[in-house]
Amino acid sequence: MAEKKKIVIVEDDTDLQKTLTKSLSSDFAVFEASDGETGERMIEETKPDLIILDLILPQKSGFDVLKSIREKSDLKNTPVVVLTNLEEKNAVEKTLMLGVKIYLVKALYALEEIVEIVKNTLK
Amino acid sequence: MNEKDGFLSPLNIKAECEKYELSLFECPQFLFILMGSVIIASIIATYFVAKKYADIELAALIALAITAFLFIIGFFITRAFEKLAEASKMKSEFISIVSHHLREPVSAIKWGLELLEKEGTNEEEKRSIYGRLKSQNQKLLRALNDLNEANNVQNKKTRFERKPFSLEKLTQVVLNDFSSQTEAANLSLNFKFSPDLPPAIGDYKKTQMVIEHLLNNAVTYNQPGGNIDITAEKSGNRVLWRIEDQGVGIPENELSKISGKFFRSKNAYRYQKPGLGLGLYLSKELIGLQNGKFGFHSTEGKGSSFWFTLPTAL
Repeated sequence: MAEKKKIVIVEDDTDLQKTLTKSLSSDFAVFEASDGETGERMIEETKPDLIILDLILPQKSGFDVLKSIREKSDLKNTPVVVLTNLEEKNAVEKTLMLGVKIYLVKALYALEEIVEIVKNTLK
Repeated sequence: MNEKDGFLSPLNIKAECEKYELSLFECPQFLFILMGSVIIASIIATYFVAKKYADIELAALIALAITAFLFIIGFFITRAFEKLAEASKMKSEFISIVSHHLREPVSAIKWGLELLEKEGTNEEEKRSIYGRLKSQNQKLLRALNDLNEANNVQNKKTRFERKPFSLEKLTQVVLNDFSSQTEAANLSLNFKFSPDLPPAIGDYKKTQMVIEHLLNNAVTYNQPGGNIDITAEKSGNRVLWRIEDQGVGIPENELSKISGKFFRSKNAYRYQKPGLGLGLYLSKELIGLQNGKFGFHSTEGKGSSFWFTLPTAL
């Protein structure tokens, strides 16, 4: 049996984090982090196939995590799904410059839609 | 049709300015009319003065005085517009903060409900989802209550009950609500109330709101594994309640602004802590309105201590 693809979820709201993990864990190996620093460390250690990243995070913001991982040769092309409730043009542009192709506003997406987007990205 | 709403209503300058809660000298409509009147009056006056005296120096002096006067009015008009622009910017920032703050629990509730509806979710998972829904609903309710209370405080519409109640029991109730948060952050809570503490007189629910905010700050800004000390004692004819944490503290240059409405410390941004910036504002106002006193002491990097007093029944 093929090994499950790895996803790191960096989300400080533990309720949202658990809900996401529950929806994705049947198809993927999910790793969770609740702050930016832990998230960055986890990403470096696990070298995931996809990262789900919130932007407003304790210790280190999602923007800073993105900047750091983009500087690393083995992580610079890892797909990142930004999942946030920050819906500002500046934030979208900033993440776009850092190679983010999928920017989702939590309140506007159903859980099922997010799972579908993740699955399609990893196909 | 009500005369107030008629097409002549914009001419009622005083009412128009009151509508926007502006004094006359902050109100652009009034300042424009004043400036126009000064220009008309000065042109007429200059004509008569020039006709009577035909003195070039006098005319120049009058023109200078009028220009200076118009310059001052112009300055007030600019200031009035600046204030309006600032209010508009604040409103926009406020909507952005509030919508972000409310969207988080709403998203969690939405996704939690989706999971509940999904086939194959077992009873244990369902119980855990219900627990998460309950805590997010509580978060949402707290944010809405804060916004409502801040609005009532500002418009002097807060309703208070004045009844004796036990601060010790109230603190226990709040601590129970926060137990999962304090456990998750591995914080140790020390609770010391003097045995002869008399009942406080005030509004139980408003005081609960204050204690919730102060405890929430102590949990949010504490170091992982830090201490929170809560004490209460009798002080003269008042009860003195205090909470101390070992958190990030407040920068010295922000101490005077920290209890302002919608103020968020740079440490709140640095550590990316969620919040509306209403907790300390509401705490200070709600205690003040109950004839109590509110204060704090903080050292950046070492921690903060917040306290309040309320009148006692004895």
